[in-house]
Amino acid sequence: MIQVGIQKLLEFFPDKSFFSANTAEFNRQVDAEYVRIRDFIIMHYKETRRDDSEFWLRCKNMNVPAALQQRQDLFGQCGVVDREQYGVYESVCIGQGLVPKHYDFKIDRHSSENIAKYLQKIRMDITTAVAQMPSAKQYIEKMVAASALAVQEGQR
Amino acid sequence: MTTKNIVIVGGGAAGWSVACLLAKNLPPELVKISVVDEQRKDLGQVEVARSSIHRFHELIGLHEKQFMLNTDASFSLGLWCQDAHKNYMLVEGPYGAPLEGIDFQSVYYKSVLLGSSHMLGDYSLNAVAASLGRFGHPVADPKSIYSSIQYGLHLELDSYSNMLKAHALALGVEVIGSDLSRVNLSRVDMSINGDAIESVDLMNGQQLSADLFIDCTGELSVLLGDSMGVASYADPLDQIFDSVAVGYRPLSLDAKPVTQLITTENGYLKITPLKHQECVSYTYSSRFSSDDLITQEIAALNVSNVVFSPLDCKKNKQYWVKNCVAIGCAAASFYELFISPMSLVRSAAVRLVDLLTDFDDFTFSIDEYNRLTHVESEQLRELAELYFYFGRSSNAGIREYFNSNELSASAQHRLDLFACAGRHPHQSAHFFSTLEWASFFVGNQILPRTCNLDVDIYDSKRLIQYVESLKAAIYKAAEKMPLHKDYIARLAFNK
Repeated sequence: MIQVGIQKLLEFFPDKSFFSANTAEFNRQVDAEYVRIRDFIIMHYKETRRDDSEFWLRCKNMNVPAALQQRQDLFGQCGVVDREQYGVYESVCIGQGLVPKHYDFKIDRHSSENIAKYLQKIRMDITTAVAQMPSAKQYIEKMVAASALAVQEGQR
Repeated sequence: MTTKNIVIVGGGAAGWSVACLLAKNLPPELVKISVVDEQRKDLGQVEVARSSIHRFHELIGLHEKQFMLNTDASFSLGLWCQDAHKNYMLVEGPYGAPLEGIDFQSVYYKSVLLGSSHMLGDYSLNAVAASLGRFGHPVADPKSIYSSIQYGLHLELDSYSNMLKAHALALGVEVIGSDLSRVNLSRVDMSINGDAIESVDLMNGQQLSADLFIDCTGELSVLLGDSMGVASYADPLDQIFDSVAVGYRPLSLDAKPVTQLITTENGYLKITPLKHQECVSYTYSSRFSSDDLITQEIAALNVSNVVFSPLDCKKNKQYWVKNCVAIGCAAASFYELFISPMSLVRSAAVRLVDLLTDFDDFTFSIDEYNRLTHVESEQLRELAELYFYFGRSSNAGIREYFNSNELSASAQHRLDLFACAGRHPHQSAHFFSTLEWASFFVGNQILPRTCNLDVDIYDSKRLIQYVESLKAAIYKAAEKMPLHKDYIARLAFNK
């Protein structure tokens, strides 16, 4: 939020006259960002799988802002999310336990076999790529060593 | 899932566009798509399509060459807006190039403050090529200036619609050549207010039931409006111009690849050059001008076979209700200024396909579809409002009408924000880029009162040298392009 605030301030940097349209647009955009984050956080609590305390039960059954409810209903039905939302929206929903009732039937243009092959290929590509990466520890050690060397050379 | 049926009522460019996109995206074993191809024209005669049409053609697999050769279509580089006080090109391509990281719009505003008299369009290859009557497809190399061209199409809708129909049939869409005689509502769905559509009866005796009906019946909105009783409303903005006259004239020798949009005393004129002729349409107010006067004005333009029709712009309050979606003029009709009704059809079709994920329960898709469609229609309204705001007519009746209808809060905000600092409100979906908004405002002689800091401290002499050299380079590049008419002739020759 701090970064967004700074970025918007630069984008709508005022001059001495402080045009009211400019101030209004800054407030509107920052406010929209607050609401987006707020609803995203509320969503985490609402879509909980926990029912082991009164707190979580209440979260599960609470009323949420109408726009958020509409978004959750749509996702819960068919997995569609408004493009204005965060890129991780789908994975958070599914991670919290809100799995769409249906998959998009447009995928049925492809045979199950081809879909399975396609998914297998993505998994393989990722596995291969990950196998070639160093461990995080090795990577950092290499980085530290390289920058120490650069400092030494700079001093020479 | 058992096979589902989608019935599209009303052929025409709208119905066939929707049919093509559905057929291309939905699994053919699961969904059968039929079009009741009524003998009705729904969308006027020509379309001025913006560059977004290419994306749609890609989605449905239709190749430009196919219809450039077989229809009267021509290329479009933008709009040439004119009235008693203004004359500017409104194009989609970029303007100028940044100066050491400073965006070109700011550079331009500063150059005007410093006394430069060039138009913004002088820095756009699209606009300069258009004014010289020249055209060329954009090239792929991003380093070439010719990659910046963004073009649309001028389409003759009858032949275009026939091409779409042939394409839809090839994609497996069923065509039923009959007219609608009756719409049957079902009352099974008593839990929720109102009725869904059970089936439609056709003049040929056939009865069609479907899981989803798409109303492409034009302004009559036979399914959603007439039969289901979904209310429409008349926006005061849309009531002033109530008539339209359309005719053709031979292509003028110096025809440019642009549509002219001319605000006159009594309304607005659109002149669209096709390959072999020009379509002239005059939208006017019959309340504040006489038909005689309009006839004279049109005669002076050398237009023949003029057809006069009433224009009744109205919008549905909802676009998708239960198992019926209205698309095209059946959903909303409005003045054709910068955005064509067909571009709304394409956008609606894409939205529908996105949200059509199963046939189990449409409820949530319906809410989302209607929400997104409302957002879109609000943007169009803002555009029309501001267009008429700047194009104040000298006709006392029309002037009075617009004076008594103030700008909406959102249009006023957009104008204020631009006028104070050349900035734009956030918009989610958009037809009109912020660059186009800027050139629209500048064309209407609104320049921001303040400049960005970085351009303010830039050396004035060097800034003027920069814009001069840019203008010269763009004119030089435009002059090397072929004339539009030669380009089209060569296209036919090279087939």
